[in-house]
Amino acid sequence: MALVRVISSDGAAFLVSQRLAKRSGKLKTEIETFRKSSDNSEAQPEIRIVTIRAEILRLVLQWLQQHQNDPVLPANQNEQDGRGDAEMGQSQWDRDFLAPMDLGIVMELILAANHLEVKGLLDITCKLVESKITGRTVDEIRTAFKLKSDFKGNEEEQTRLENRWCVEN
Amino acid sequence: MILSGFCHGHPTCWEELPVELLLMIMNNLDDKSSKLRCRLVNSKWRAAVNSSLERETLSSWTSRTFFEESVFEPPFPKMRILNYLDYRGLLTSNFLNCPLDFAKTLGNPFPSKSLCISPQNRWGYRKSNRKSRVKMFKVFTLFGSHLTSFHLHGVKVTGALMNLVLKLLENLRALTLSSIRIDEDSLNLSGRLLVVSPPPNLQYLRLININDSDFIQFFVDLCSYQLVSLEVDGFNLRPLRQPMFNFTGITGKSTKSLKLNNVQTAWKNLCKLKVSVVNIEFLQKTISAPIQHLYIGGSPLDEKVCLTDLIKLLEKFSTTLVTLYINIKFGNSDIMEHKIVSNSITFPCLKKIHVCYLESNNYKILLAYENNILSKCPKLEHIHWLYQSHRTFGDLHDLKKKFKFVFHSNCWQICPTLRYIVVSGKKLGYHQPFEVKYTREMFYIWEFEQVLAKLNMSQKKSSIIIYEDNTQISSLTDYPEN
Repeated sequence: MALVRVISSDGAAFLVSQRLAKRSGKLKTEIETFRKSSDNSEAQPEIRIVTIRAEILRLVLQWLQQHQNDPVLPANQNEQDGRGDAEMGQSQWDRDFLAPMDLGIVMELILAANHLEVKGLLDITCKLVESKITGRTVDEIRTAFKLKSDFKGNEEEQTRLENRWCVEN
Repeated sequence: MILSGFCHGHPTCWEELPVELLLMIMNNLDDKSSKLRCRLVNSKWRAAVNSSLERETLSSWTSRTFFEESVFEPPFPKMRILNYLDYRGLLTSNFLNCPLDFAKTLGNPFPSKSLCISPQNRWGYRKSNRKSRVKMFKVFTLFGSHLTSFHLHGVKVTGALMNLVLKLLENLRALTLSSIRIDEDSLNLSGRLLVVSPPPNLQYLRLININDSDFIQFFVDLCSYQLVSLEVDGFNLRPLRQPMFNFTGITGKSTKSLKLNNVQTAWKNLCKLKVSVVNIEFLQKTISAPIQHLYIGGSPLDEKVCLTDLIKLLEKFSTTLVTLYINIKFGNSDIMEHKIVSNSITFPCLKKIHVCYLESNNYKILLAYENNILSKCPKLEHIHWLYQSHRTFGDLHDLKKKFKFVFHSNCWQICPTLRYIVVSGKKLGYHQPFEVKYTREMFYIWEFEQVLAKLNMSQKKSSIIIYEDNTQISSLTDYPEN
């Protein structure tokens, strides 16, 4: 079985089958680039991901392994009809996978899934974020996501008025 | 296969999430009130929600298909137009209800870059809203350039107003005019009315329930070089043609742009066309355009459309058509001459056909005719027949009985890519149709059962096996030949 070494930003190396790695758009391109530049077709490709640390990379690979037999989703599915994701169900495995994560890890996963071009993982992590937003007050959202208001003067009050204008009809 | 890995802590900050990912999260947020609440988090989130709202609002023009017949929601925010009588005792509308200090807003006051003006909007009724009023002209002058979509409903329109809309809403991409009344005195359609060229990015136009054909025609012609989508609902449209402008009264810059336009071909960008009332002239004289999504609807009551004309029209768009929605009453005599499609014409991209039949039509003959067309659609996946009746339409069982022939019609053989045939029955005036969906798998099972039955007849076997599992069907259908 052809393998590939994927190295995280903090130097941890993961030995992964190429078939699995190619389910990530980014790793697929990297492997193909390596093939073209390398004389030895037997050589094992080594890919360094400078933006993703080991813990997160491990989670992405774990997710890929669980979903290795899923059909690959087209990257722009959402653009076509605007609701490609809504129809997708989430498996129990995905729910258990995401359950213990705090929002910091989730954000890193979103960044990693986006960088590595793993559409399915990006979808479920974004869905999780949406569920953390829905039904919460502004202060709860700010606390959960560790965000600070940067509105000046009466900007916030102005925005509040605009919101009311948008809702009441 | 994961062989090694280790973890250690790492600080993260949601402030640093790239805008495009934040936008993606906001786009998927279904709930409008949650979305609006996110505007209050911080300025970055507000900007992301705003562009998501704008995208969503525009999608009502850009991506709604004819198969989604649901009533679309007008864009928001909405401003109520105030009616009052002027000194001549005529109903005049100039003032809009607006939030307090609206005119003093810095920058863009419209979160979704959209606005709906209508006398029916209820915003401003509540006492808790600190409201004021503002002249419509002032809104356009101050903030018109921020709008990318605009809906004007139920208002009396003067030439001056139309000119202002076209001139000041310079970034407009989508426009709906519905139930507007045209002020004849101030509108001179021979050129004095619209002395400007339309906003350069105006590509989506919807005209609903306007009964001034000259106005519709002038407006449609004016935008003919740039429209991507045109929907005219409730009124006759003259054929799409190279427009003939009367240049008297057009001055300066606009003359130049119109002359420039005139050397181009009209309708070269049109992808989506909905004409809900067509006449014979429209069918015969419309020029070709790269239309992908076409809706042709209900001819005037006294005039029955000739099938030949309809086919001639479709042939003009044959290379680009993807979805086709036909809701026309055909003349009965005409249906008989059903071998009119020239053999050279094919519909290489057509995927979905939706045809409505009225009870008076002899739909079986139409179907035979359709089979003739089906052989020319190599990619067809979906057929939907809507059968409309004036009488009480029994129930689902009746419908199944009436359309039993669909089940074993030869459509499935003629069209190898066909996946569904949906038949729905609807009593006129009622919204909820009955629906039966036939799939290719069901046809295979039926076909297989037929063969089995024959085998049983000849070999005098007594047991009939019915397989329900779809995965086995393809191999099972091969069985009788072996």
